[in-house]
Amino acid sequence: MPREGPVRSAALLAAALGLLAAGCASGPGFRWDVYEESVYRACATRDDDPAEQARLLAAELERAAGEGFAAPPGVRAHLGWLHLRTGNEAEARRWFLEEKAAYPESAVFMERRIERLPR
Amino acid sequence: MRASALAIALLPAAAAGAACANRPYDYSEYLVHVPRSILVLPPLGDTPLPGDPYAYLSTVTEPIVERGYYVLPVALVDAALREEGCRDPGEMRRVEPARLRELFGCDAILYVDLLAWGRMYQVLDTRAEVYLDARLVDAATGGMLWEGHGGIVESTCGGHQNGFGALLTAALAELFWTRDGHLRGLASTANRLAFLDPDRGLLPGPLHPDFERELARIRERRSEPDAPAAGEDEPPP
Repeated sequence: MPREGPVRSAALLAAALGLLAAGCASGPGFRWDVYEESVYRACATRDDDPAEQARLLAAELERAAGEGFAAPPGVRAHLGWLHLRTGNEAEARRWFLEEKAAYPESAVFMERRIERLPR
Repeated sequence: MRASALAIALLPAAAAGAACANRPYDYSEYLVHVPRSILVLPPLGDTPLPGDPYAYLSTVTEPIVERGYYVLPVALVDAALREEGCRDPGEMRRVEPARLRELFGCDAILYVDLLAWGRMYQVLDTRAEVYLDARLVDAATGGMLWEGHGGIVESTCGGHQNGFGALLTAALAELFWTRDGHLRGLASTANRLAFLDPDRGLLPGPLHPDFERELARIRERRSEPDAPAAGEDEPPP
């Protein structure tokens, strides 16, 4: 990484402009970046640590709930999937059911996932 | 030496051609079949692309949820389709809408094509570009409800640089833009241009707090044949 003044300024300028160009995606409420990072690591790098990602996502859900913000669509199910991949089927079932309860639109998919869980 | 990063947003209407710029989008089909839930498939990217199209997938959920739809969990959908035997996004795309509806219970499917995703290296200029084309298809009928485009180009070439300065800027861009994180940031902007455009974007969905009111407003606007289209001037009194 560059260390000296003008070179670092150029990198910082690029970073700032990159942020502006990207638009302000986060506001008050649920922070999407924790979920998005987990999706990115799971799908693009294919090199994530499901246990760590589950911990981070659960912490964000708890933090947001503390401020009165519920998890958006798909997030509970994603957390369930992370637990499934660590072998924690009980937690997987719990979070698939919570997704279904929060969003009846997910019922068909969540029921299929629950059916596939070992009994 | 000065680093100039120039961001140019490509508006969906402009990209489609000036002739389409002022004509209102035809929402007829969409208004009849507004979906509650949308299945977003992993995107297809033109090969060769410098970046990994899967890096886009993490950015797509937020804007569509914001617009008022249930979006199925994208990573879990990808895993489920692989369990069904699809080896890549190309094979996933070939699954019939009716079958996807059976598997996922979705009302509609969003197909995204990344026409640009990554960095391009030209003489004295490094560009990062994201450009997407998206189609929303009714899962029950297979009919198209909506299509849109959006893109953004970010370039280091600002003009007032000597050769060495430009090469150094390009090298910094290489260091900084090697990370998918930057492209994902640009994708958020491209998504907003495509999905949230007030005149050509997705309609507000049933989970949007103002859904009923917004749809009533859109239907009213469409039923007035002499009302000015978006972007046109008011007719003289």
